[in-house]
Amino acid sequence: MKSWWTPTPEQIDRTVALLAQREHHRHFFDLLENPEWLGPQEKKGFLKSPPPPIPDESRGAVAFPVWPESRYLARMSKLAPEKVAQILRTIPDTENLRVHDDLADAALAMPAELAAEFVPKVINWIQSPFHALLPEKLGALFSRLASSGEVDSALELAKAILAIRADPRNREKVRGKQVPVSGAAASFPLVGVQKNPTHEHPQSRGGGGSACSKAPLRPFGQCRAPISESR
Amino acid sequence: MPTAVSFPPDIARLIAELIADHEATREKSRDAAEKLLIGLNPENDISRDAIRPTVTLWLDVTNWFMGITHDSGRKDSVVDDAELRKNFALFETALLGIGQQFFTTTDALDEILVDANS
Repeated sequence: MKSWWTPTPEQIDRTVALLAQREHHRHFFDLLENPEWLGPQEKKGFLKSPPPPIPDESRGAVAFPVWPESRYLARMSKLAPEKVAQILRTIPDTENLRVHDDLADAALAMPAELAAEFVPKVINWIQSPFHALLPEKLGALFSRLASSGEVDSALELAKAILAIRADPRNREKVRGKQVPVSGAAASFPLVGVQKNPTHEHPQSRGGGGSACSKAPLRPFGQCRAPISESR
Repeated sequence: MPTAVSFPPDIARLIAELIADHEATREKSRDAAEKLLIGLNPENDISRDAIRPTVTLWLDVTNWFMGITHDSGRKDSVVDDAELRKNFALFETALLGIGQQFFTTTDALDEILVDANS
């Protein structure tokens, strides 16, 4: 296995001094492959604050900025799983779906017994109104936990993934089109879709409406937001 | 030795104001440094957290210089030469990181990355 050298405090300071621009920050974290930088970077204040989603009211969209630090964590998880797990424990909750995707990758790359610890965190992400690749990644995580003997965590995750929830748009649909909501439609989002096959909220035709009301339905009965590239 | 000291509410209020002023001044210099980095590179505005460590380093270095520039009753020779060189190099690097050509900084980062990833 490749051994990595530990950076000196001077190298760390020089790097931090050079990261005064957003694009340089991204350049550096996207290309860094040495897990020995995890600790020093954490001490300097990196790897702690994921950027929140940025709502764009005028376009009815939400931008999800990339977080180069979470991508670095995802890559390092295979090389230094214990350290990545320790950092993951301290990262505050966010609704940024790009960060969810990266941290799910990090969980997938670490040994199952470590990944199991993050199931409650992952379950919180499922509650978020926006998802990109998370459903696929969580399916893989479930499979990995189950096949590695982490049965309780796998079941807990499966319960959250497969939970049936009310369609969050039902109220809007009822107000907009007077669609009668049966008990089934209220409980099963996909039944609601059959009643409104275009998936389009009347208000969204004029460019208004929420990001959610314009989006196709996703697993978990949630929606996929139009993602604005924020790079 | 007494474990608690009592003093009049007016004194307590004055001490609280003094501490609040001190905190505000500290925040002001952080705010000013953050504004400098955002003013010169407006795209930093949407990722203030990403530049926070650089702001902290900038403050550490500039405060170090402020500490020895202002009369503190010490002689110049008391300042450690290695420390002076280190802080000057960092100040220079940070200044270049803020203001120099985009690809000049990228090249400097690439040099660090080559070492880091080897």
